[in-house]
Amino acid sequence: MLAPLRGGRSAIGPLTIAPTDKLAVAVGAQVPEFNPAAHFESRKLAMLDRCAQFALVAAREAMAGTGLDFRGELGSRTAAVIGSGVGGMSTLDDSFRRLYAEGAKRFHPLTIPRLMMSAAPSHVAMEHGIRGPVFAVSSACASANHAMGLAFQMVRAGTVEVAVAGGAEAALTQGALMAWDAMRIMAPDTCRPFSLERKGLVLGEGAAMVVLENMSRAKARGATIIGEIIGFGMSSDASDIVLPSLEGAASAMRACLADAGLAPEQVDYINAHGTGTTVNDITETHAIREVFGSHAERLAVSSTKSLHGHALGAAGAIEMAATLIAMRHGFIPPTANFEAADPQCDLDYVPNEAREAKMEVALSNSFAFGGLNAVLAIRREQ
Amino acid sequence: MIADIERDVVAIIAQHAKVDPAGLGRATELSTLDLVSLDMLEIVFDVEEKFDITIAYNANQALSPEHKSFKTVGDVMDFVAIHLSSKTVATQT
Repeated sequence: MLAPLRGGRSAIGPLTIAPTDKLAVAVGAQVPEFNPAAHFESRKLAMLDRCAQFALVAAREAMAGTGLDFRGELGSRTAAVIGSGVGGMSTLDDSFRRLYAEGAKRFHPLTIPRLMMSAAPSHVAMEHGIRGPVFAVSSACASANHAMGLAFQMVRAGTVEVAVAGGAEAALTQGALMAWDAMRIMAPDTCRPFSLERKGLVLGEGAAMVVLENMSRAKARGATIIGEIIGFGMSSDASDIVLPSLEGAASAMRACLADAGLAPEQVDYINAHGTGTTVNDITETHAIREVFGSHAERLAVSSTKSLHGHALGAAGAIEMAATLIAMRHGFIPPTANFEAADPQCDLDYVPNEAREAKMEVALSNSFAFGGLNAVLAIRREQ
Repeated sequence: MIADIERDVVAIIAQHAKVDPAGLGRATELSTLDLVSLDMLEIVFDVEEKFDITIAYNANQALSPEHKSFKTVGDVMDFVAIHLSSKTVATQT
């Protein structure tokens, strides 16, 4: 992820994962060359939707090198909380196509355990021996931030010692793409957040996970510390099922700053929700101005969705990974595909080229359909 | 044929705006009706379903001030009429 993030190289391209002949929009950011058989033996693969496959691979990557072993007592003091917007969409879509279009007389016996929203956390728990609180979180495009935020709260409160948290989504199926197409908010070309010529969002897929533990515990055992989550803020617009509200977004950012004990001036960077729709980008810009006042002029704000697409329920986790990687390597990730500036979006969006900069504190915004908002604050490892 | 199109388009818009169809004419501006963004999406969908046509409508661009299509009820009627006639032509050739 480091090289494309620093180089501003977008993964958005023509969709090949599903038939696109009925779609007005045929671009997306699909996981390239993912070979399930390289990651799972065949008996296990029969149980796994693409969504759970992504979650398992991401959890393995997150766990590698942590030195943690959950098979003993620690497993019962460890949580796994994974966000997803729709869970096993491929399984659902394939099964229903077989039933309605192909006249299938029976379904695969593992259809239900494959498609259920909580399959991903269950499989991650089984693979690693995690026996504490394990559940899925679903709040559309804020799912991963809500999942990581709840895990953070459990670790901070001492409810658990360790948590594996993040998001997974694999909803680039023909049926799901048709449904997104029908909303008329998809860009036919690419994702250009905050740019005047933006035409909407571009879907992505994937998963990312973090392993959380209390700072003193991590230091005591000599763990490699990637960064620190220092605050979590949530709010609900309670206004419209698709249109975002300025007040809801501002309220979640304020709640996050308060939870982290941060003054607005201490924030260097915001990984924006930045979907590339007309409405989101203007509303988010105004909300940032309202919360940060004159400091908004000095804030760097970018949307990495321009690089990895909008991975829906996994978005917040992928954006957390992007922010942590950039923080560790001393740069601010760019908003790719940026053309002319929109007079209504007047912040520093780090257009097209990563900027070498040492950031100490960042926010990561997720504002979902249905007005569900979740914002995390992250600090560079000290 | 044109009268049918006009009647059906008015009926669809009136249903979403919750007004008497008799009060809608070609010149009625959509912005004067009590329509939220989702209503426009549903109007476009209903028109597509009714006339079996596809409308290249992107809600992002529709919100920008320079986007002039579908300003009035008449704009929607004209769009449908043009698409239906081109469909007829396509069938004949």
